[in-house]
Amino acid sequence: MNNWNKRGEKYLSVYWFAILVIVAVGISAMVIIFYGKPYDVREIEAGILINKIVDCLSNADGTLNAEINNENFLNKCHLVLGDEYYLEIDPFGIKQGNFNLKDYCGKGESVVCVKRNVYLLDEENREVIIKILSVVGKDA
Amino acid sequence: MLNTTIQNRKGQIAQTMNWVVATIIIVIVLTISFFVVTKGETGQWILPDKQKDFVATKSIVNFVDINSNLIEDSIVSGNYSDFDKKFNPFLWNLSVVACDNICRYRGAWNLRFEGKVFAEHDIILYSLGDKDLYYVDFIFPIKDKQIKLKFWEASGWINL
Repeated sequence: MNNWNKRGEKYLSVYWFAILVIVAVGISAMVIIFYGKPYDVREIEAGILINKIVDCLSNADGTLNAEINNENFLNKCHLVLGDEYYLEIDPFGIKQGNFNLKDYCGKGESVVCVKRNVYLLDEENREVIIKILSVVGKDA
Repeated sequence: MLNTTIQNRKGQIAQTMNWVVATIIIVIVLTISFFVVTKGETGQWILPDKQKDFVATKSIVNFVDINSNLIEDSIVSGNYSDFDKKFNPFLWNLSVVACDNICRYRGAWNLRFEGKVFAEHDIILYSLGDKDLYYVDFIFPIKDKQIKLKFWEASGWINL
C-alpha cells in the first residue's frame, strides 16, 4: 500500500518538473520573439523628421512659409543634422546633411529613405507640391 | 474493499485534481501571453494615437479647399471623369514611399463619399478593410446636403 502511495508522489514530482519546463520554455520563447530582433526605428525617425519639416515649412493656416531657403533652413527649423542624416526638399533646393547617404537609397539596408509629398498653398492660394526626401543611416 | 481504497486515496485524488486545474490555468495564461507577444511583435495592433497623419491631413485640407468647386460640380452632375483625373494622382502622392532594398508605397489612400450623395462614387486605390491606418473625415455641404468625404489609408506594401 505504501509503495503505491510513493509511486503517485514520484509521478507528481515528474509532472511538477514538466510544468516548470513548459512555463520556462514558454516565457523564454516569448522574450526571444519580442526582443530577439534589434529595433530598427530609422523609418520612424525619418517620418518624424518629415513631420518637423512640414511643420516648419507651413504656417498655422496651411499656407507656405516662403522665407525658408537652403541657408537658413536648419536655423529656422531648429534642426541639427549629424552624419547619419540627409534631407532634400524640392522645389526649395534644400539639401542638408550627409550627401553620400542618398546614393544608397534602394540599394540595401544600410540606409532607410522615406519620400513624402505635401500639398501647401502659396500666398496667392495656388497649390505647391513639396517633395521631401529624408534619409537615415546607421549610427557609426 | 473498493470503497476503503477510494476512501484512503481521497487526498491523492484531491491533489491530482488541483494539478489538473493548475495545468489548465497555466496553459491558458501561457497561450494568451504568447498570442499577445506575437501580435505585438508583428505590429498588427494599431494604437488610437496612430490614427492621425499630420502631413496627410494638411495636404488633404489644402487640396479639398482649392478643388471644392470641382468636387461640387462632379457630385451635382454625376460626372466624375475630371474629378478622378485630379484626385487619383493626389491620393497616390499622399502615400509614403519608403526604401530599403527596394522602394515601395507604404500603404495607400482611398476616398469615399458618405451621406446622401447625388451619385455614389469611390476612389479605392488599395484596401484591406481591417488594416486601415489613418482617417481624415470632413463634412462638405452641397445644396443643403451634408456630404462626408472620408479619406483613409490602408496599410500594406505596394511596389512602385
